[in-house]
Amino acid sequence: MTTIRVQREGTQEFTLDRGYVAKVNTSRCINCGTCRENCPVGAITEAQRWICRVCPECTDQPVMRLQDIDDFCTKQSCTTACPLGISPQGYIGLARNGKEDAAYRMIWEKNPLPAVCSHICHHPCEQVCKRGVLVDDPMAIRGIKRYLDANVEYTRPAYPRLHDERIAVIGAGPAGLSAGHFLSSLGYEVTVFDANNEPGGMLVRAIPEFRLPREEIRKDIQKLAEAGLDIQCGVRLGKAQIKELRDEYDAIVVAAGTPHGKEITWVPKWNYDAVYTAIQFMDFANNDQNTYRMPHQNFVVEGKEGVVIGGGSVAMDTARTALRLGAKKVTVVCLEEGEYVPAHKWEKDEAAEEGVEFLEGYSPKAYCGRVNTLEGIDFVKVTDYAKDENGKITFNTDDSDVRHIPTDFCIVAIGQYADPIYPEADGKTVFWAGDIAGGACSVIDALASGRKAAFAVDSAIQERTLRNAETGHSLVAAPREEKIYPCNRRKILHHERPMQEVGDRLKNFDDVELTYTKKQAYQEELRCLGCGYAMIDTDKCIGCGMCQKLCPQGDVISMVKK
Amino acid sequence: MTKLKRTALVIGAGPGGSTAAFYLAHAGVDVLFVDKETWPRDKICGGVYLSSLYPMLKDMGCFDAMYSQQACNITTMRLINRKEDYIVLDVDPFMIAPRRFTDDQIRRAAIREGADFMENYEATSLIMRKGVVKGVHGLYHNEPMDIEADVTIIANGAHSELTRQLGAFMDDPDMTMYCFRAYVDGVEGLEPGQAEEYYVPMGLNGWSPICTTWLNPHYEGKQAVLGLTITEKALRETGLSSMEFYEYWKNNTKFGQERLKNATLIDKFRGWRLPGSRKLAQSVYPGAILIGDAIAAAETAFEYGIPSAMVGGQIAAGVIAECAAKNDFSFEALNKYQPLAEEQLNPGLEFNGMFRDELLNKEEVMDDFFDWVKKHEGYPHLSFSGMAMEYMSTVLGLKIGITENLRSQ
Repeated sequence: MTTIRVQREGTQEFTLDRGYVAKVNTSRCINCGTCRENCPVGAITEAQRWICRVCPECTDQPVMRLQDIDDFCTKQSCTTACPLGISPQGYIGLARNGKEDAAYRMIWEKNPLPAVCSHICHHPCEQVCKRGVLVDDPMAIRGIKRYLDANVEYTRPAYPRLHDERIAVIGAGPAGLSAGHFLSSLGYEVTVFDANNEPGGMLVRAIPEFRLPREEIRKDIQKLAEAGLDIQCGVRLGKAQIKELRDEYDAIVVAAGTPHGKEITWVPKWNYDAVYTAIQFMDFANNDQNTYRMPHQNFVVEGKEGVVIGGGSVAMDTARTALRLGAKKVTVVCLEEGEYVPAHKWEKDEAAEEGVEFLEGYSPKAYCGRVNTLEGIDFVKVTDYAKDENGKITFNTDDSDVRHIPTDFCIVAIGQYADPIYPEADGKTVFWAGDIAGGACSVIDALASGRKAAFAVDSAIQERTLRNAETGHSLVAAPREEKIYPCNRRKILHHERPMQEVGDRLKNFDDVELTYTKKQAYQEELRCLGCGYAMIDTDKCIGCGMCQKLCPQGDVISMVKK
Repeated sequence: MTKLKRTALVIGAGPGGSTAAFYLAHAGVDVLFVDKETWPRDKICGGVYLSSLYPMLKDMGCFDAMYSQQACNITTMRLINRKEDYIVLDVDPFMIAPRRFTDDQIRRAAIREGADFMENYEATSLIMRKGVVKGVHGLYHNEPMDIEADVTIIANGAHSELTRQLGAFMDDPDMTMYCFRAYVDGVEGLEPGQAEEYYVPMGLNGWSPICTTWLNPHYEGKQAVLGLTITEKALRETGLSSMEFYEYWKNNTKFGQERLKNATLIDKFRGWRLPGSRKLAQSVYPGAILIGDAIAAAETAFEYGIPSAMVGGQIAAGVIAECAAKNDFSFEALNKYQPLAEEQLNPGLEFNGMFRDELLNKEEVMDDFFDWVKKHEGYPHLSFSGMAMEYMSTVLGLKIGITENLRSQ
């Protein structure tokens, strides 16, 4: 029934019927989501194909029960896994068809920091990639994105000015920049304030250069600034200034992050000279200078042995940075064991490759040493480790199992905390985004958080809810005839992410990961199974033709007489 | 909105600056305090916090942490004169705590109270308009950044460039001291809760101006804080280096040999210049108040460095809070600080100066003082400063303008 009922004030209800309905060529559709997002009546959903995993020996992965395959196939796709709602299958498909500009456009239109994400996104999309779970290895989605980033030039269109309201964003980290970008895109006048001299927040301060070269951050922020985002650096805001801001601006978005490292204050002597927080240490490494005046306080790691306490991504980064600065040996000690270690597996593997040692399941008991001079740390075995849903960790210790690690310096990477000066989020004029709003999060989560805050601001000011405010969408199962049989697919070798040789890595701060060549990228793109496609609900479709017009692939959607 | 404009700006986040920031924030004044270091930072210092500061530290909510975790509590003091004779005197209890920890606690108290803090900001010069201080030019992470303020508290220590710019820099060769500190392990013969101070005999060039060595037990067993305090005059007249003073004391005196027989230095000697004054100099300038070492309101004989800075900070904060309430930051309004601070700080500074001139620097008088103390009925019931005061007024016949408050110590 290709009709829509329309009722305006003072008129009678009438129906719109153009007599056409959209039809998708499922074998051509790359599931980019453009039509789904722009359909005026929401008639398009993402369908997920069923991937056979019934017979043994057909692929590397073990067989599964039918019910499990059903559940898995419709639970998540790479698109729903992306916090920003970008469709990897879409840009991979476009790139495979030679439309690299259009492919990268899909990324930068939705992601304010595409180059940054192409280097350090923790790629939740790859973790749910069905090829990874059901066939062999997941698609190297970030690798393809990185290839696109390195090979495609783009210019952001200038932001429109549609509204009179002025919004202040505090903090030019990923969350703040994202909030600023999306608010500007919505047509507000936005000013982003940052206390540091360089925008980027933790990207600049805490992430080591061997994971994210500085020019990538600058490139992204430059594009935002060129499009008209007003970023004011070196503006530190205190309580009184925030009050002024609240008077001056219609809404403020607090994205000030968590700039201070937590310390282990419950273990005596925690304040020895050679005990640094991870943030202090990374700030030192990235700024390439000692900020202490007294030589005995300086961060000296060359030729020394060190311990990093903590098991998260920051701990891995600091350990690897310390090795690059010439530390003789670095041991990472964390409460968790095995799969519970919070760092991503590949981070741990890369660190281990470079020679970082691990001691899992131990908690610091005592710093050993004489006045202000650290000589070693005693650790005790952790038992009954448990983490509740709020992230609160409880554990006991077994005092009979004590390990002493002799060490010259200790880096504490057990989390960060925020400045307490910011007003509470009230949903009307004050909004929080990023780390400060919900504990530590990765870059892509921070970007999504900033986006959410931006739409919340719009919603509060205009008293409306935009259709694209939420990035999530539901999946439906594709019909039986769309099944994918992996044994039919050409087996294409997975290109491991190209990396620098381990021996070379430790000598410098160059990016450890390399970019795919054109051929490698193309072969990787070919591996995509294409699990998803756009499915049109013919009951809802009004035949307007919007989807056909917007489709970046071109010949996917046709309008047929009903 | 201009970049970085505040009502009150405090340069330096040591005890003085942090105290000022704490009380300003407490009074609801918009305050930013800045420091050139990455915190927490160590400071070369004896680390003595007099008990007169305890109420203030309790106000800030950092006393318990300082007292229980890191401090060594001192109740008596052993003085050793140049003849290797010694007396033990009670002192008003004080604690010795590492500055890296204690200063950080005070700074955190100020931040908790609502003061805005910025580290790695080095103030390089003052913004002057028509002779009035309007803020500072500086470097933030080595890039230029200016901060404007209605009133600036300058608390950035003994080497302050800002003080120089105001023409308030104090450099009296009689009072300027060079101090050196190291931590030592394996010190023998120290009593718990007893600090020791040695007036070093310099037999090399006959009588020499003052050089003292102090040994304060630290909070961990046989470890101690070892320090030297030498006047600029002593260095100049004897022609010795600071380390030669130390070597002489260590090798040629009974106590030096005994205490450091099996001792090892944990780290190197590190030093700092400590300006002193006999009375508080003019501390208020249009738009600015100077506190602590920046205006040389410090004295070593009775550990009067940190207290002077913190008391100065507290008074300055009170005066500025009043100014902020009336929105009047004229020189006259700020200058209310001067009499208040003089009333609080001058007795201590004057007494310390006099003690130094009349007792420490005169060998015969010093020996006489030791004999007098030993003979004196009631010894050791009076405290160190009480005995010194009694001796100076009764035996030397000096007129000491000291408040009852200090006398009762």
